[in-house]
Amino acid sequence: MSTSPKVAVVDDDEQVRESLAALIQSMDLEVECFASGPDFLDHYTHDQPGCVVLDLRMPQLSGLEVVEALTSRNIKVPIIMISGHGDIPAAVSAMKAGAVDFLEKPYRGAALMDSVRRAIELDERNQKTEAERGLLLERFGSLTDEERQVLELTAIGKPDKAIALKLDLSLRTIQLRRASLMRKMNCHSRAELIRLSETLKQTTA
Amino acid sequence: MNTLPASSPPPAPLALLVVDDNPAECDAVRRRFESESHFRVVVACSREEFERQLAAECFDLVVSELAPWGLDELWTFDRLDEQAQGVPLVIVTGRGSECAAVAAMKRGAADYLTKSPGYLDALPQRLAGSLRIYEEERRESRRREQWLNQALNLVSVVGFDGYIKHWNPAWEAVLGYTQEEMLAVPLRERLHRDDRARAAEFREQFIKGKPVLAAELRVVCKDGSYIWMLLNALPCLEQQVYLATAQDITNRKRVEEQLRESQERFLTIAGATKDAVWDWDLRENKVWRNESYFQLFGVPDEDPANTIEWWLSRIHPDDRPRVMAAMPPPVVNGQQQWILEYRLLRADGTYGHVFDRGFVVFNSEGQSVRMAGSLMDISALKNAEERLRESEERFRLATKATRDAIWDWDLQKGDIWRSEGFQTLFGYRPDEVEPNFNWWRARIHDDDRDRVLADLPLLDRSSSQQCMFEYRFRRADGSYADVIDRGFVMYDADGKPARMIGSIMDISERRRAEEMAHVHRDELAHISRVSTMGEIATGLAHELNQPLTAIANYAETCARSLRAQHGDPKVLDWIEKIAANTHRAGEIIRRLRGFTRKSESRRSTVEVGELMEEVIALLEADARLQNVRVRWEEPYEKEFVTVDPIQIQQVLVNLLRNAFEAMAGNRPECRQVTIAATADDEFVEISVEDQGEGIAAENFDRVFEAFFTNKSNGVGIGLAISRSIVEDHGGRLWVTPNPTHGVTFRFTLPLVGVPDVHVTESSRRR
Repeated sequence: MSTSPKVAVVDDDEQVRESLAALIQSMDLEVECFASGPDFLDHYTHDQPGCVVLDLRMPQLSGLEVVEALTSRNIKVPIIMISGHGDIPAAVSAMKAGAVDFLEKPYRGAALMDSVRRAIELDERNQKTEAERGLLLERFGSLTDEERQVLELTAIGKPDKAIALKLDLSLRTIQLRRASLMRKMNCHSRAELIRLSETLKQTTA
Repeated sequence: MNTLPASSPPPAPLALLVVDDNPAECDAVRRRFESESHFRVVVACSREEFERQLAAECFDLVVSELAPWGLDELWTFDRLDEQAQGVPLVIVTGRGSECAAVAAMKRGAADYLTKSPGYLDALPQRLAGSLRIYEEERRESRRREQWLNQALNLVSVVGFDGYIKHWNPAWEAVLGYTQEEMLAVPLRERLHRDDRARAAEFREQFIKGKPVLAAELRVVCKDGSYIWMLLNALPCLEQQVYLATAQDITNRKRVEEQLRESQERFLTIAGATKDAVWDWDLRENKVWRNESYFQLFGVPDEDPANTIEWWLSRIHPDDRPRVMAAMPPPVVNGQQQWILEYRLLRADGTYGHVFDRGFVVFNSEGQSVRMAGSLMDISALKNAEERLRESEERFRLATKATRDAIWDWDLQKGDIWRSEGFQTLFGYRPDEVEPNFNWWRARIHDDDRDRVLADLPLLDRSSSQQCMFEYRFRRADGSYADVIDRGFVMYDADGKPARMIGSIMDISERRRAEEMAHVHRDELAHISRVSTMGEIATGLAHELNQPLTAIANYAETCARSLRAQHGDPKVLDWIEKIAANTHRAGEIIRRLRGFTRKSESRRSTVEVGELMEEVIALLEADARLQNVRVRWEEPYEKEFVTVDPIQIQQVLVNLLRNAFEAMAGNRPECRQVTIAATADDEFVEISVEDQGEGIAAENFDRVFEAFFTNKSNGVGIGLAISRSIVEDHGGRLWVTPNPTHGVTFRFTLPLVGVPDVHVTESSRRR
């Protein structure tokens, strides 16, 4: 994954699109332009940190529909919605759909640049967490079924005695198993283990 | 309170290892936990002991000093990781610091406590909190105690010697004695003098181990008054005590007393009266009747029956269905009176006309539980009335059949008879209507009176026999009704005017409907104007905002580039002014749109059919003028939508007018518009089908764009507005071509559940 950020601009108005690209390029960012929702969805790849500046009102697919399509494809990229038709319900539904910002055309250049910068930072953070989750999943994969059982029961706060009783094993076995699973998960305390298992749950959900 | 049930057996105790280098501290902790059955405590004062215990047993919880035996601060964590990983560790320390606490928590401590004075008291609970047990137990026992203290019933343990051993605070609240006063004398002394003998009987029972249930006793209060108590008591022979619960039933006793008195009073009166009196218990379905009832309507030499069926069987067969129909007495409050006239078999075997008047008694839930009333034989009265009624029936029927107010003016005597219509139409009670000319004259509106009186026909042959006026007539409530008054003069044999008969028709409703239609039309026109402006502004805003955005973007880019290259500051200033002015333009457009959007929509829940019929009525004249037939296919059931009726009607008016215009070139017999409404679970779909020239294929989508029009005289905004109105209501508007001629416009609106008001209204109508 390349690390230089890239901003996608989606607007059906050529003049708006090109001027926006010029402005974002002046921030020393890479820009990719798309003239319609379908064009964007067909060609966009989220393989480097960045964000999308998306027009709300476009023929064929509206900005909201584009966001829905991205969500259904599990592409999590921060989206800044812009609209020359701004009204409260539109802004509300854009934010509900998952946009990180909503700007009404004509916006102030500074406001847009600020928003783009913050969106890229957010994306970088998200990707980092994502990578951590990947590592965590990998580690989880290395556990034996027995160790997973102990992990699950520990994570919901069961005392060792209850775990032993439930699994019909001796207390000592349980404690040995947990020691081994904590080593494999690279984890140092029961509290950390609970946190990790929460993260795992969100990832697998 | 040793009689209370024991709690369920406690779970196996949790093994707790306490690590502290101070033996006194260890001891204190152990003592503290002695009474806590949930924990089993093992202490380790020395490092050797700690190691030994850790090896010997698996603990559920470890409580440790932060740095025992002068070791490293997080030493215990490390040891546990090696020996007993995952066992929760609670740090209890005498020298806490914020920094250490944060480090410990980060390292995975389950909790962190400082040894402040009294910390030991809270320790078991705090530990249990970390393990999420125990607290629930404690809460339960506290709840039990609280319940006992707050219970309104009096609860006490009384010894067989008669002295109270324990009691709850309710005793003091009810009786007023202090604890000392209550404990000083045997309970027996506090009983009413007449009840003391019974208390002695109870004692006999207790000694045999028998409980006393639901005994009613009077207890004397501190202020000398007495209260009634309902007592339940259970002896416990081993401890020579009984557990007694008592409830204050003074109020109930008082009500019972009053009830008995009023019952006696009623029976005395019912026995004395000549009227037939009855009392029907609806729940038991039993009827009580007094002596007079059986004397008048009973069967001699037969046992009086106490059923309602007996009474029904004696009603005249012709009246029975009517009486039975009125029989289940009304279940709702309010209508408490029940009045019927019917024929009932008398004791002598003939039928008598009776006037039966009852009233219904409801319980607190509003159900009818009882009916009581009296019967009066009104046969004599009835016969006279019968004859009179026959003679008047026909005329009354005639005047009733018309909704008008009828008057009959005897011109020779001056008397005027007026029909019931004056009551139904204008609200005058019969006693308020005076049989003279001035009464009428005074009720004509001041502005109309002179004109009407001047037009009254000259009362001779020369004038017309008929006359008609329109004027305003004052109602009983002071408001005015628009009326049309028609009169007809009749002459006697000598040709002199003898009588004038006429009728007054109330046309206020019609007038108001006319005015409403007028207002409605104005309103529609206004909304149409405002929303046209709004739609133009919105369309314009979008069109203009695009180039403005591009200008702003380029200006900002130029400014950045100039700044980076340290270009001419004058040019930079100009470019920044370009950007600023672009925003000004944007603001102006925004304000314009905000202004036109102010006309808020007012939504209400309406029935689709009503909405449609109003529109059809509104366009009736247009349709007639253009020779168009409008067919309306109602949905199978009443469907309700929550909309701004004016806006939706505007949509319908737009679609219908378009349809009319599209058929202007057709032969008159081929000008038909069909409006239909169909519904599924979520939406009602309304369609407007014309037989017009249709729409070119490439224009099917464009017709909804602003400023697109086929008409030479149109702005091309009607369908754009209609679409935004429908979408605003959560629906869709589209058009499809018909198989033969013309097109069908369809739009959907989300349905709402049938609103309550409408349910009651429509069910009442049925």
